[in-house]
Amino acid sequence: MLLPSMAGAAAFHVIPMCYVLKRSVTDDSTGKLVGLDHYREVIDNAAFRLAVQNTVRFLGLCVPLLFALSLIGALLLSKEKRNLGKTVALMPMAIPAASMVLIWKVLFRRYGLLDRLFCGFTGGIDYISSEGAFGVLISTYIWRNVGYDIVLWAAALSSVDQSIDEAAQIDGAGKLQRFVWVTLPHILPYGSVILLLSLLNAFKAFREVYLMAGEYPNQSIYLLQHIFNNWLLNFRFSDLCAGAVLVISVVGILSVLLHKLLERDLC
Amino acid sequence: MIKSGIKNIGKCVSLLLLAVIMAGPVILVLICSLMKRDELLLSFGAVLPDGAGYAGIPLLPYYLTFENYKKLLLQEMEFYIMFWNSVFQAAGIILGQMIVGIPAAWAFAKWDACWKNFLFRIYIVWMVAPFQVLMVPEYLTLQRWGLIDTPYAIILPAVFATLPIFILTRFFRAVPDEILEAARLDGASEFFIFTKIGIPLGEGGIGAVVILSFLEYWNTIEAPLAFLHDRSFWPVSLYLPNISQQNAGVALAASFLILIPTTLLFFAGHDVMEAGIANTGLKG
Repeated sequence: MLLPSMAGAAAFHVIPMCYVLKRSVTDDSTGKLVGLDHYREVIDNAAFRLAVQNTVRFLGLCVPLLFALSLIGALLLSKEKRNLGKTVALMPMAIPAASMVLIWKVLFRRYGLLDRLFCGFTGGIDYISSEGAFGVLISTYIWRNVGYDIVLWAAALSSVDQSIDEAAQIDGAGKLQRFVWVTLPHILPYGSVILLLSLLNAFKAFREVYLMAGEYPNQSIYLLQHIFNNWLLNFRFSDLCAGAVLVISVVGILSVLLHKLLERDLC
Repeated sequence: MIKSGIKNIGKCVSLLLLAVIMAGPVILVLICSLMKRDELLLSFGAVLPDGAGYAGIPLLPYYLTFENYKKLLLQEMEFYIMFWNSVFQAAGIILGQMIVGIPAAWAFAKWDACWKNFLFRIYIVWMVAPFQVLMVPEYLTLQRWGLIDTPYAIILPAVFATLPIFILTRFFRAVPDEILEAARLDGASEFFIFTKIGIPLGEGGIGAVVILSFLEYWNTIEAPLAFLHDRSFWPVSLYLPNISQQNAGVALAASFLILIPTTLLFFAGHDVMEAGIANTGLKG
């Protein structure tokens, strides 16, 4: 039953990936082995470094932020009987990026709403084509994904054994104590799957960036995805292959580690 | 009494605030798309090329008009084509994902084989890896098969996406083994067990995957940019005419029409979707 899926995986990923590996260590025109030259070239490439730096900064900031914010959200919403709050928080997932671009421009462009709100302090900033773009990127990511993570956290919270919580309450534990010693140890193991899914969604934030700012956005939001796109458009295949091998190794190690955590905790 | 009353009001206010932040942009799109051109320019011409002044917050249009929608639907053939491209591609992807993903997830959840875990781990790497990295091997295969610049360049790689398998596996793991054992003792074939017990019990997961996949692929941007140089197969998610003072209204009307299918699906199936997401994170 795994066959169709494995055939597709082989055709689209495994077999061409071998070719990508080969391409990344051979010369484009002569086909001679050049060792790690392409890798050196890619790592020395200033644009690639900028993209790596930005991507790491973005992931390092937005994933923990979303992790914490959605936990707080889930705690606040868990007491509600109807889960209207959760449904509302999920709504942005249903809004295509294409529909939002115009509104984002109204909000964040120069002379836009945000600019109008803060113009007394800052005096006219285009939040999309300045350093502020990074903030726009992070808030867009949180806006779109907070509901997804709240639902995940809420599921974890609902699996907490109420009788233990009550026992602690009878023993005189306060609200905060109960949260730190009863609830938190129980829900933290679910964190690995939440991190995994947040990471996956973080890579998709590129859509909004691309639609708002195009192929060459402000330096602060020039991501790995941009450089890969530009390499493809310029047919720089050896760079593309070496870069892909590098990124997939890092992502691979990260996600295998997370999945190991997940298996230890949840299976 | 008074204290709980205040608390209730506080709750309502914070829920309302949440709703404004989450759904506000949609309402803004709808309101602006119903505006006349001069009014639209008055309130946010400022952010368009050669506008002046600051953008305003339009709460209600003075004159409701469907002029923008009329113009879009009567004059922009391109919009219809792209809308249909999106429908066709998303439907193809979801159908394919079901055919490929459901049996694979069943195997991952219910078979005992030591290589299975290794394969599952690789699937998770593919699931997390950004599109731009997987696009390189995918491009090579599509090129070899001559599928670049056809809709199948979008559909085929997405059919083998591993996120649906990940979600479905978690649902199938929740099916108790005792039921399967009992069926086996009664002489049921493996195929019968899968189709008559597994699939019905995994229905919730299948529904969630259909909804999540639709939201995902209606919103696809990366794949068509990479695999379709020819714009005639572009999906509606890339419908962005150059916005100027002339066509801002039409673009807003298009923005609103693009979000209708996903929003309707969301309201029809948000509980299925919510249960699906919640189950992804639970013990399996």
